[in-house]
Amino acid sequence: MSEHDPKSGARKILLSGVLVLFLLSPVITIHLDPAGYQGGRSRDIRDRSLRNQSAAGIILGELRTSMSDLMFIKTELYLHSGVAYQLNLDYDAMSSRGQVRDLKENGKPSIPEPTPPGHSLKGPGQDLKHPFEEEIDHSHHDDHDHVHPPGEEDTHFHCEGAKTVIPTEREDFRGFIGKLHREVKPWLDPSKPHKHTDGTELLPWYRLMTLSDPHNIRAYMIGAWWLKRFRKKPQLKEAEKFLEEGIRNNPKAFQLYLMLGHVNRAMGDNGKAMGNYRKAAEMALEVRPPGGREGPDWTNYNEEDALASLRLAVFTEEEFGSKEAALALARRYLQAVEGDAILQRHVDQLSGSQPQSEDN
Amino acid sequence: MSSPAFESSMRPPAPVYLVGKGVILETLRRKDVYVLLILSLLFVAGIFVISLVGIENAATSTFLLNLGMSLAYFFAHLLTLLSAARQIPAELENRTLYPILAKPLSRGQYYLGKWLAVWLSGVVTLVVLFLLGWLPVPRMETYSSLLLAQTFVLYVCSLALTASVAMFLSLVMPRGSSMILLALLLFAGGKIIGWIHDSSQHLPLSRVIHWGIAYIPDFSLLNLTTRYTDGIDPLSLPQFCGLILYGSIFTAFFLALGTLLFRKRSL
Repeated sequence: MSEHDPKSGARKILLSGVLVLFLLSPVITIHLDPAGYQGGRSRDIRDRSLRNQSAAGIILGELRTSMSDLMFIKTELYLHSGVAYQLNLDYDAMSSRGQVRDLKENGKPSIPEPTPPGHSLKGPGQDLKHPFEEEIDHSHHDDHDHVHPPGEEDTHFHCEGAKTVIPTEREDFRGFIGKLHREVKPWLDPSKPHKHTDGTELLPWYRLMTLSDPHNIRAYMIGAWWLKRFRKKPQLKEAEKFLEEGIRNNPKAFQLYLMLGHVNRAMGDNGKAMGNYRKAAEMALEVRPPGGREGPDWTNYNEEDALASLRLAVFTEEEFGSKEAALALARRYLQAVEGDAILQRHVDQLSGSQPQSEDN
Repeated sequence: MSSPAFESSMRPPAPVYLVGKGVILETLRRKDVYVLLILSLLFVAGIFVISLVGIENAATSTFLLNLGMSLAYFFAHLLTLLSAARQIPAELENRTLYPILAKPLSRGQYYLGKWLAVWLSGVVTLVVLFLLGWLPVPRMETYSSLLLAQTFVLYVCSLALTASVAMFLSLVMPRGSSMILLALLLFAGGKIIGWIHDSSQHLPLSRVIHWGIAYIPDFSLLNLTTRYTDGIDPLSLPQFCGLILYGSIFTAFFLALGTLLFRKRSL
């Protein structure tokens, strides 16, 4: 083919055009993220639990277990030293509120009553008695009750309540096979207290989870929560970095700002915490559907996180900012989320205490 | 004296068409497509059994829908990858390439014909498998029809990219290695790219690294299955066009690079 062939010239122009477009393609790629949405049925804990309980899901065996499911199951196994308990981790409640389910009383979660304003919100190592701080710092992962032995911060001993995947001798119809199964697999009699390992072994799994799905907001939250639990500066710094990475990958995830606020609080950076709680609250209001109506992209966990963000924004504003601003904020938030008893009570208390403080 | 219409009807078919026809005939002769069809039919049979027993909840039906669509995506891509990666190496090994190139057919036309036929056979497989994976599953939750259409169009784009990358890789590395590398890119590329992206966040040259990894074809961008079954809204027009453009640029680039390499290569 000669140099002056018109076809050859046109081909060269075409090739150069394709090359230029390819070299410039990262400009487009950077702005493309079709998986960058919040919520969705595949990430909903209730949907996941329904899927895993279904006969169809069980028949399809391993296929039913998505990568993320698999890692969650792994974290549970690690937490219980390999003993497989029937799924009982309430990750969402744990990540956002450290909520405990009091099964003995009524089977419903027990939510601590908020203390009146004026509570202490102090630096690290000091007495932290804020109701939400208390919830966040208290690590609970199970449906069952537990006892913390004094002096053992990283280890939990739990009383009976949780069922194991491998049944007890009384409930097992398999006889010898069942006995063998209990012998060769890590197993503990569910009626006896069981031990939780510390979260150190779980951390790589949360890292893997976020690497496998950078939009797994829960994994960022829980990973940061475990790091925060160490209450040491390097780990807290790591938690902060982890959450910042999560925010870069999920800029619209208000929950990550909420968690970042918790980490800031643990580090004693109350100003930053206040800013992040406020940011979380404002972002939550932007994405919250009217009336907090549940849907594929707004679950009850989103709603709980949103409410926690609003409340904490008000509480920290009151503590570290001004009471007037906190009252105005609380009123505005209360207008947005009608019927929130905690905010309502707070507005009442703040408006009641204001004239007194002015008199003083 | 003959009319132009008569002349055009007597003209031999375009070389690209002839090469393509050969590829499609070869695909039909091989067993791959039938194996994938049998596997898909097993899925359909499973769905019928499950439907007879009764699907307990909407979450399970959504899971089955996701599984059906994912299988269609996986099988169609697998077939395209296997078919594209063997085209030129097999012709070289069997020495069937030489008589073909002895005909009035340029190497560029030969390469383009191969790619087009591999892509088309992938699309036909996708249509069949997609119908088998999507139709029998009872839909108990709401899904966006527009997003379904977007998902399908992007699948087709992704197949074109798979064919062009597989053919290019088969020219620069052994067949087995090229298949493994592309399979990795196809089914785990998004996660690998994400991992490199996140791990390099704090490095001094992170921006350069991020720009560099953007040149690795990310097939996960062209797969909207989970977004569809998650019940999320369809993509906005700029986003959708951006994805089409992304797929087209990468396909054109690897196609051009492959053609160039094949033209320069001594056979």
